[in-house]
Formats: sequence, structure tokens, C-alpha cells
Amino acid sequence: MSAPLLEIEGLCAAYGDLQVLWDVSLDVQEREIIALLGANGAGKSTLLRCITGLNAIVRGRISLGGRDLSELPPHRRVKEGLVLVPEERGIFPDLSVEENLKVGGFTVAAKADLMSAFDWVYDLFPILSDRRRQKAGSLSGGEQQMLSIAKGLVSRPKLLMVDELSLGLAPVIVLKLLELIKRVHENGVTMILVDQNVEKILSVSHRGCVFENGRIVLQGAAGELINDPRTKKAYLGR
Amino acid sequence: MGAVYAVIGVGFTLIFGIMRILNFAYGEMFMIASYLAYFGVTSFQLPLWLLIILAMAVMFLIGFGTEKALILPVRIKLADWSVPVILVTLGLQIILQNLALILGGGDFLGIPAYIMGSLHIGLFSVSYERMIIFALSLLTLVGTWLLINKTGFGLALRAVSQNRDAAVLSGINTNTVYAMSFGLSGLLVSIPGVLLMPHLYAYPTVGQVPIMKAFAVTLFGGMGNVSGAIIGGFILGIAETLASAYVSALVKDGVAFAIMILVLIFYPSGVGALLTRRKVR
Repeated sequence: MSAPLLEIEGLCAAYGDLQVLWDVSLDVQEREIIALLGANGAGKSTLLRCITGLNAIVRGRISLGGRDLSELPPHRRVKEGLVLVPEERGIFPDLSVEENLKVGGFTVAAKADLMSAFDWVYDLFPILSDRRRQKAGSLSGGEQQMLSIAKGLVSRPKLLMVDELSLGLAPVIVLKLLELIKRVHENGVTMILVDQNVEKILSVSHRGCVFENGRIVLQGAAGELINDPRTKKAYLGR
Repeated sequence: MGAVYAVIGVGFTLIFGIMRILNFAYGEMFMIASYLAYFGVTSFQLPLWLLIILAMAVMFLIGFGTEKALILPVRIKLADWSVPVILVTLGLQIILQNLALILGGGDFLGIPAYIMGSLHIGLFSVSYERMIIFALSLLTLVGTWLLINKTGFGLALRAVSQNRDAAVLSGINTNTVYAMSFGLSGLLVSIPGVLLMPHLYAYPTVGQVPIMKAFAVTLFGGMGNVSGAIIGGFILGIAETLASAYVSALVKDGVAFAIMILVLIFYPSGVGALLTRRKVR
């Protein structure tokens, strides 16, 4: 097996005096889709934020493609191919859809690359193409989620992390998004997905990690985790 | 005058929109520009256009430098830096005023006008100077609008003001954006600072009234709303003229205060916010 795309070793993180991640270690191989599962507050979002550099690390190491990320400030990591679609969607409400995508492509140097990325993204999400001049704040919840993913894809990331893909969305739309996730994956993008919706997320993932109170308590192939009673236990406590 | 007020307001509201801070030293940046203009004219006999260019360059650097030297250290240390930074600007205001007092003396320094003479059309006469002030202010506003809405940098500015974390996640270096905006704010206020020097004179506290008007315009247009500030500036200018014509010239400066009070009572989020909401619908 080749070297993992993302390596996390012994990660500890805290909010002030409150420690939230305890000795988390995880490897993500290229072209994998990994699901991070667990109840609210278990540490999944915090881990993603640590990977992007928005949260400081107390101890441990994160490397992308062998390179230690602590050397890189958050805004530089995008250029290395690391993109987060945050829980709050991270879109710019008063900018148009197209302007949002332009910001997503901020680190793309060549205009031609940017244009072809726009084509790709508009092909994946035709609704965004229809609404490209509309202000992002006026889109529906599902459309905003699509925009936030599209915006993340414009820079052609190597590793795409999506936090709470299905939050607040109707099941029909969630299914559609999962289809799109699969299509994006076919383009060679490695992914980390965080979601409350265990079954749906595991259905598109290769592997899963279950978090409880800031630690990984269970790891394994998606197919096994779905049936493992310990997965449910981590959420419900029994 | 409305156009000038608009420029003053835009420089102020820009910083609030992007950094969410009130730059109390803004009036002092105006003051520095006024002093620069005075010495530029009296000691070096520089023409107006050169004065403006120099003032813009110097004030941009001062603004940029202030952010990097005084504000950045605070931003790095504290996660919630809005209020501490405001206090820094407050301290800076005091320091700059006293520095000006020591270096320049408390005298009111001024010149009669950059350009004498007026244009006579039938019954009306407009001084050339006023026309230039208006034209240059308008030019500045247009230039600023273009910068914000049509350039990549402007896009980054708007992104940071709407969602800072998302901007970082898109690869925007917020440190650069903040420093550049501060510099831009200084550049913007230097233009009124230079243009109004014959009118308001250069002295340590000359910035106090302009910053009040900037505040009024900012509140009127909505904090951080640039187009609102532009509209607010013009309205303030018109209101002042009307007030001094119909009430008394003495209340002119008071109009800004009156506007502020009215806005806070009736439209706290600024009239600009109302206008944009109507557009979306």
C-alpha cells in the first residue's frame, strides 16, 4: 500500500482549558472515502477544523502527502489540495453564486483552469448554473449546500472534507447529494465525510471511524460498521 | 460637500465592514493628511495633484504599517480581538493628537485656497476649488466602487467581510486583507484631508469633526455598507447646506449629530440596509 494521503498521529486539541480530542490517530489513503461518525460534541468537527488549521493543536502531528501541516497557515493549505466544506456551509450570502465560486477558486492561478473547473462544477450541479447570478443568501437550503460543495471543488482538491452534509435537508435532497459525492469521488478526490446520518453516509464510504468523547472508539470497513452494534452504542450510549 | 463626506464615510465604514472595528484614529489620519498638505504647499510649493498623490501614498503606508505594527500583534494574541483593537485605535488617536501638538504647535495652519477664482454662469457662481473637490471626490468614489466590485482584491474584501472563516478556507490571507484595507482606508481619508485643508485648516484636533461625520454617514448607511455610506454622505452634504441656509450657518456641524440620533432611533441598522432589502425582493 502506498503512503497515506493524510496522516494524523496522536492528536490532542482543546478549546481553552477544555480538552476535546484525545490522542486521535488516523490514516486516510488516496481515493478513500472515510466517514467520521459519533454523537454531537464527540469531536468530529473539531478534528476537521484542526486539519484545516482553524483550530490550534495541543499535541500531535498532521501530515498531508508526507508534509507536516503545522508549517502551513490555514489559508495556505487550500493550495496544497485540502478543502473543508464546513458545517455552517461557509458561503458568502451577499455574493452571487458565481462570485462564491470565484472565491472558491481564489488560489487557482490559471484562468483556463478556473474556467474548466467552473464547467465541471456547473455540470455536477446544473441548478447552480441556472442561478449563477443570484445572491447566495437567497438560495434554498439544499442549493446552498450544493454551492458550498461546489465552491470547495473549484480548486480541484486532493482531499475534500465535508462536515454535516445532510444537516437540515430533506431526505430526497440528501440522496441526491450522496449521488453527487460518488460522482466527485470518481474524479479521483479523496474524502472525509462527517455526518449524523450513519446509514446514508456509510453507504457511500469505504471505511468509518466512530468518535466518542474525543476519542476514536471504533474503526473499520463501512460494511462491517453498519452492522456493528457498538456503532449505535456510541451515539445512544447503550 | 456631499461627495467629500461620502469619501470620508466610505473609508470608515470599509474598516468596520471588513474588520468589525471602529478606527478611532481615523480622524487623526485625516489630520495627518491635512498637515502633509499644509507643509507640502507652504514649504515645497507642490501643486495640488502632486499633494494628493503623495498624501495617498504616505497615508496608505501609514495605514498599512499601523495595522501590521500595532493591530496585528493584538489580533494574533486574542481570538476575540474586536474590542481590544478598538482600544488600540483610541490610544493611537490620543498619541497622534499630542504628537501633532508637540511637533506642529497648536496653531491653526492654513492657506486660502489651492486654486483661486470661480466660474460664473448667469446668476450662479461656483468656486473652482469646490468643483475640483467635488470632481475628485466623485472620482475617488467611482474608483473605490470599481475596486470593490470588479477586482479580485475587492472580491476578497467582500468575502472577508461576509464570512471570515469561509474566506480563510478559500485560501484568502486575512492578514494581508486587513493590512491592505487599513492602508486603503488611510488612502481614502487622505483625499478629503488634503482637499479640505484650506477650508478646515490643519491643527491637532482637526480630525474630530470629520470623524463624527464619518460616523454619522456610516450609521446612516449601515455599518460596513459602502453604498449606504456613499448615499449617506450625499444626504449629509445636502442636509447641511439646507440647514445652514434655512436655520443658521452655526448649526451646520450639528446636522451630523442630528442624523445620527434620528438613525439610531428609527433605523438602527442603517437606511442602506433597507434599500438593499428592497432590491432583493
